[in-house]
Amino acid sequence: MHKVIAKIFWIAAALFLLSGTGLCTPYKIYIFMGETCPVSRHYTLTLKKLHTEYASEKLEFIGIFPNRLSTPATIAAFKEKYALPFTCIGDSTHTWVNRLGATITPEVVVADTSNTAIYRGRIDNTFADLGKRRRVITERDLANVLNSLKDEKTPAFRQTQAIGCIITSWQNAKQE
Amino acid sequence: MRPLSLSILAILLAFASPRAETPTFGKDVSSIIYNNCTSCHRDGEIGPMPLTNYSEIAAYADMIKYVTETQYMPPWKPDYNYSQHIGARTLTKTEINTISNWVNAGFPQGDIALEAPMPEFPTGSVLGTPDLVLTMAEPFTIRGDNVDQYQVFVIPTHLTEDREIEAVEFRPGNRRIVHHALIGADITGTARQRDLETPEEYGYESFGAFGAPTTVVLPGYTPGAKPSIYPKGVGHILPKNSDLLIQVHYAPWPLAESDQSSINIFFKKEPIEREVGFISFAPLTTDGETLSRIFRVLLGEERHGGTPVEKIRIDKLFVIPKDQITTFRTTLFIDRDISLLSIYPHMHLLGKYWEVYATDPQGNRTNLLRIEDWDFNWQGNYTFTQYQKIAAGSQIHAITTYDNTTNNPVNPNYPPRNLTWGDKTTDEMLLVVMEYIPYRQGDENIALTVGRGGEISIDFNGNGQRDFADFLLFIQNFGLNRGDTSYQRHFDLNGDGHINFTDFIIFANQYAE
Repeated sequence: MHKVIAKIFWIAAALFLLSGTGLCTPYKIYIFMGETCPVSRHYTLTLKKLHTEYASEKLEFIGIFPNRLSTPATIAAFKEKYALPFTCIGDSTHTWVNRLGATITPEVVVADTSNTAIYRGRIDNTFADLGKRRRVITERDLANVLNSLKDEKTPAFRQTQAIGCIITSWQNAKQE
Repeated sequence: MRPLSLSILAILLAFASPRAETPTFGKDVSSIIYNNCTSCHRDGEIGPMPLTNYSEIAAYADMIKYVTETQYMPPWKPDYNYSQHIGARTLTKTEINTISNWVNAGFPQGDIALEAPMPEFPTGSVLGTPDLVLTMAEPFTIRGDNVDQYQVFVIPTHLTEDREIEAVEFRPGNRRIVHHALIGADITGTARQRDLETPEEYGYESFGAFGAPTTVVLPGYTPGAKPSIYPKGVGHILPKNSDLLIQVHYAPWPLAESDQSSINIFFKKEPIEREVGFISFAPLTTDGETLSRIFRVLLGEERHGGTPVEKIRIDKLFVIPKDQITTFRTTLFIDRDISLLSIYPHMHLLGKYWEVYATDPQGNRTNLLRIEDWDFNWQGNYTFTQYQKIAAGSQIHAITTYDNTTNNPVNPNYPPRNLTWGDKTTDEMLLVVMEYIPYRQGDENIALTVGRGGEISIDFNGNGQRDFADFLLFIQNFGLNRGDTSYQRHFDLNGDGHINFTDFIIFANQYAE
């Protein structure tokens, strides 16, 4: 009898875990940002709006701060100052940068439930180049991806060029 | 102008070193960054990322390489090889290559003992103690919605008599959000009236310009720029009972911050012999007169017995059709000898290209300004390094190009619309205001300078005296250009990157005083 209960327990636990990883793990919207990068600062308003509109149990926003000088304190200060409503983590060792292939701040990587990127690039086309800010935004790339996900469609992988501050690569740095 | 011996030395050195050495931060890069970037890139200034030590600079190494190679930074729009203006914020090719090679080599710190000293950045006025300080009556709070704001503030001068002006220094209250400022004076009370019409906010919004007539347009402010001082015997007159107008451009910002800026005014110590006048053109119709005349009247065309502009011509009506790139050619005919001090070009968001030059009756050409990639957000008043003589019978030509297609990312209209002259963001302008004085023999040899006090000092050895030792030091450094290893900025008196004859003139004038 005990064995039967134990069996049922383990089967239930396994089902729970499976459903957890297979069905309920949210899509992740990773946003690479720099505390002192003006383009990152500019996009805080847009990101807050997108978060309000799309964030759910299935769509999780995570801010990643890859600057070499980022500390928990600088990240917390940025999060508080611009009232960012999502988790922010540091990545000064570039674990996330390398895993997700980010090169710019701000740059977003949207990953599906198996952590495969389905979108990488700009939030929208506000910036045509550094300092060249459109008066009329015509492409809302991240919002489009999030709309598809909200409708439970997984779009094919797409990449755009983010405009902002280049993430300094430390792989070749010579520390003397 | 570089002495022969120095050139030979440089060639010998080039052959002596077996291969190009890897630049290091200490030896090579620190002086470039500290002397060209850090005045804005430090805490509380408009430059967003601080660049005040090795780790801050290394953390942005790839970005610094990119923005210097593309010449996005330092921000300086006029083509430096076309004509020279004081306070040019440019790097030499050598400096750009040094940064690039340093980043490619993994941005080594090198010998920190060789690190350049940090320049002293003044905390107060760079010119000394002002004679009059005019401050915004109250702080102005921006909306903080990531949209540019252009607000005009009206500050009464309370002057009971006309005063002669040597220098005007704009002091941003909040340097993070103040992007640039234009300054003018109004004696008609129009601006004061406009301010009253919007009682809910301090000042009034005006994109195109002041939105009110101005009798004097004074040198404005751009980040990193230093106030210019009018030479001996030359200056503006600030009329009694006038209101000072400042149009402040607040950069797009995601938070509602506030600013309370002020203006330092320095009166002339000796009387003005030649009051600065204005030449302006704002051609709308092909005779060029309709708007130009309004501007000339506003800017006091009666100075010096009437405007030196005989007539203005533009090759077509100032209408910019949609989905097209349009170029206008404007010509001013000058009827007497004058000396130009500065040029302020103005257009809005469709603007792409500026070229202004003069031709004298013999066909000799004087380049005044070229901007290959006009950016409304980096407009400024450009003072020539020397007076530019424009002889009687000369023509001043302006070539301006506007991109009213969807390829222009800052086109305010999507889809594009036909545009013409107007004050709003969605209108366009073609306006030039130049400061001039009647020509006097020898003007072309007079250098125009930036700063005063700490900014320009010929006491190079710091012994408190301008003496022969300083002269020797100056001669030793004569002929060096920015980018040369031994170039030191304080010998470059007009800050144009070259220690040459122009600096010698400034040196001689200071030495004689």
